[in-house]
Amino acid sequence: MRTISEHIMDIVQNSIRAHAKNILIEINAKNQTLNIRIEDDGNGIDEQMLQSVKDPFFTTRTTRKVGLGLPLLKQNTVQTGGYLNVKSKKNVGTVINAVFNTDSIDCLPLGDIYTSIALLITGNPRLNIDFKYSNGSGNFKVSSEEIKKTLNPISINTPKVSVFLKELIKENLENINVDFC
Amino acid sequence: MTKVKSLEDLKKIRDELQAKVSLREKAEHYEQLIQVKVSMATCGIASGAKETMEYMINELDNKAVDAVVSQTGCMGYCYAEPTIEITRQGEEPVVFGYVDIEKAQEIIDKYIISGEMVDGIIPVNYKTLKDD
Repeated sequence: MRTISEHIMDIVQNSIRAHAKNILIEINAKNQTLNIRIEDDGNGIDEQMLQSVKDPFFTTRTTRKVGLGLPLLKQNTVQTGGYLNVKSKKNVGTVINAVFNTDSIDCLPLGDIYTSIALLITGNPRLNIDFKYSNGSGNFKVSSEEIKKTLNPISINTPKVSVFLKELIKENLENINVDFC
Repeated sequence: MTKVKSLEDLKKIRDELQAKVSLREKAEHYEQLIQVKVSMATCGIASGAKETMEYMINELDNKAVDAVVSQTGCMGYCYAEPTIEITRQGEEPVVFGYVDIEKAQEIIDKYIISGEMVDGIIPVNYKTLKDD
C-alpha cells in the first residue's frame, strides 16, 4: 500500500466481508499523530482468532493462503513508532485503531482520502458508511445514509454521484487544511 | 472564502439525473443497468484497482453510460489484479483481468458500449485454490 487511504479502503473490505451493515471511519489528526479508527457491526472475531489476525499467513479465505491486510497496516504503523490495535467481540463487531506518528520519515502520506471514501460509499450501496475527520482546524463528516436520503430514488452508485461526492469531500477537507501528501 | 460543495448541491444532481427518463425507469429495474464490479481486496488495491475504479467512474460519467459501479471483494484471481466483472443486461457476467487504465478504456469503448468482446477475459472454468 502506498498511502494511508489505500489501507483504509483495504481494512474496510474486512468489515464488508464480515457482513457489517454500519461502518464508521474516523480520522483524528492532532499533535503529529494520525489516529484512524474503523468500527463495524460485523460478525466479529473470537478470542482465539484475534491472536492470529496480524499473522500474514492467516486468513479465513479459502481462495488463497495469505491475508496481508492487517499485517501490512501493522508494519506501516509500527515503523513510524505507532501501533495497531484490534478489538473485537464475536457477533457484536470489531474496532480497529491504527496510530501513525506523522513526523516520522517512514510515515506514509495520507493520500487521496476523498477518492477512497467516495469509492467506498458509492461502491457499497447497501452499507451505511459514516466518515468523520477532525483536526486542529475543524471537522467534517459525511454518511451514506444522508446521501441516499438526498438522492432518493437515484442509485448511489451512479457514476455522476461518485464524481460529485469525491469533490464534495475534497473541498470540505481542504477547507479545514487537510494535508493529503 | 469560496463556497464548498454541500448536500444541497447533491439535490441538483439528483434532479438532473431524474430528468433523464431512461435512468429513472432503470433505477426501478436495477438489472437493466450495466453493472460493473471492481475487485477491491488487498491484492486489488495494491495493483491499482482504486485508480481503475476511479477512471471507470469518470469515463462512464463523461460518456453518460447508464451503468452502476460497485466494489466487491477478492474473487481469487489475485495474479490478474485489478480484475473487474461486467454484467450487461440479460447476459452472463464476464470477468476481465489486468485492467489498468488503458484496458479499462478499451473495455468501456468496446464491451460496455457496443457489446464487442475484448481480450483479457478470465474463463469461468478457471478454478481458484478451493471454491467457497
